[in-house]
Amino acid sequence: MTPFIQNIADSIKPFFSGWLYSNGNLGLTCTVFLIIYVAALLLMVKQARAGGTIPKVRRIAGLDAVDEVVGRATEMGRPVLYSPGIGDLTSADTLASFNVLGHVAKLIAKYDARMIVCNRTPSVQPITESVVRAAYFEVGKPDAYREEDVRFLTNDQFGYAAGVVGIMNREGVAALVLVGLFYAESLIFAEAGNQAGAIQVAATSSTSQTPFFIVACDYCLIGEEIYVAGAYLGQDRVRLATIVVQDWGKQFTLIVIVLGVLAATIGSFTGVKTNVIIDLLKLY
Amino acid sequence: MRRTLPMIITLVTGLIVIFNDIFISPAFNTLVQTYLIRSQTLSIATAYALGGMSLMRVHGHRIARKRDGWMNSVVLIAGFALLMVLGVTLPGGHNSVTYNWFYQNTAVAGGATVFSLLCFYIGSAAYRAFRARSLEATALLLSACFVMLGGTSIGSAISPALPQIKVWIMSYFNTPVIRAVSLGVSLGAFAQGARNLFGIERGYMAE
Repeated sequence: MTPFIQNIADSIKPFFSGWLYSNGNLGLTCTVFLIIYVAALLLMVKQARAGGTIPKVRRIAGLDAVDEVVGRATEMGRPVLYSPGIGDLTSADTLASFNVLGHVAKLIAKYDARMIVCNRTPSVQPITESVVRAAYFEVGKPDAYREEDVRFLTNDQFGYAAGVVGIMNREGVAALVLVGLFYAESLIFAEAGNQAGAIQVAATSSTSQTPFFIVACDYCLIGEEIYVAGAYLGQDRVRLATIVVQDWGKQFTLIVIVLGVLAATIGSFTGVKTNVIIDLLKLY
Repeated sequence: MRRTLPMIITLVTGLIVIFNDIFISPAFNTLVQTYLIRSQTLSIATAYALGGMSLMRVHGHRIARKRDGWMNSVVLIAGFALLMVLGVTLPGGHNSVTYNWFYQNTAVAGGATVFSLLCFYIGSAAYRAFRARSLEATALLLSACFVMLGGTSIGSAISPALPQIKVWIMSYFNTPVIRAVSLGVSLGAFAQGARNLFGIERGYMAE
């Protein structure tokens, strides 16, 4: 560590050591970042609620296609199959999926179409049930809600995959909406959906499964676009305002990366073996 | 209250979990270990029971109305009942030899079979997707060829350069992109969690 920064680290360590976890010397950095990030989030929410200007979110083709996909299924008289993924309630992808499910369910209820929701995790089942039921209530068609269309299949990963593929083929689904956390079964869903002739919209944050969805699905959301889905579809000012904070976080990280690269490059030329940026990040 | 109480519970429990990871505090640790984790376990166990009931209801209706494929529902319910009876009555429960025999030779074998379909699906997806329609598609096709060949023993047999090219593509193209996407994903996941925590997004409450 740079001697100057080492002195600072030594002087602050006694102050923090009693009550803050160091977490591999990143504890202070993560805590400060957390506080700034949350403060920025709440600030943008306040600004949006007060009617201030919020940045525009660029067009996301996959999300624009959701309405088209549901409309197509309605015209063909065939159901839409929705999968919230295999994650449980601790997964951010599953939480994001509920927002998309609510939007899709409202469209389904409005168009008098049919949607089959297949759940892998039992703890997600009651929530998807209530989301879909609430959508039908909101549209004013509570009697149209079919309990048997929101199903728990199995907790086993490939048993779930087999179940979904079976439903796809037996029910002749026209559209597939896959939003949530997926692992190896993602390609099974996408290819089976393709073979069934269904139009597919997929979204997952899993970097290992996104390539399969990109290759096999008609529309795919990449990376953090899944977390934007709820706000984008609902066009809610407050939620859209929080998206800009994600971009600020990425810009800040990019600046830190560039500064770190510059510091390492200068260090390699001058023979200095430490990186000031990394030392500052690892104060405590 | 019906709307506010779940939001308050979400905020309080979420903050306890976050503070437990940040601050050294026996109180937060006790709250998380003793109460939150146990209540989570209880909720999940209850959810399993609800899931099982939902399964029985859906397939029971299918059998009662003799819908298409109702025999499959009979097999499902029979298997469900059999394993439940075995798990409850046999000494050792789900750790007993008989239970494990049934589980290994039905569920595990079935899962492995479905997993193996991936091999053929990868082939069909690659055949459909890797077409030299444009410059980017050609680059994708070539890199896919190198990576697939370099990752198999036949690639090494064709040329020792193929595995090296594969490693180079994965290290200098694939890894940076995955890291960049992961960066955005982690910030997005954090924002998603914060939105749910502070009640800005209430999708889990069906709103």
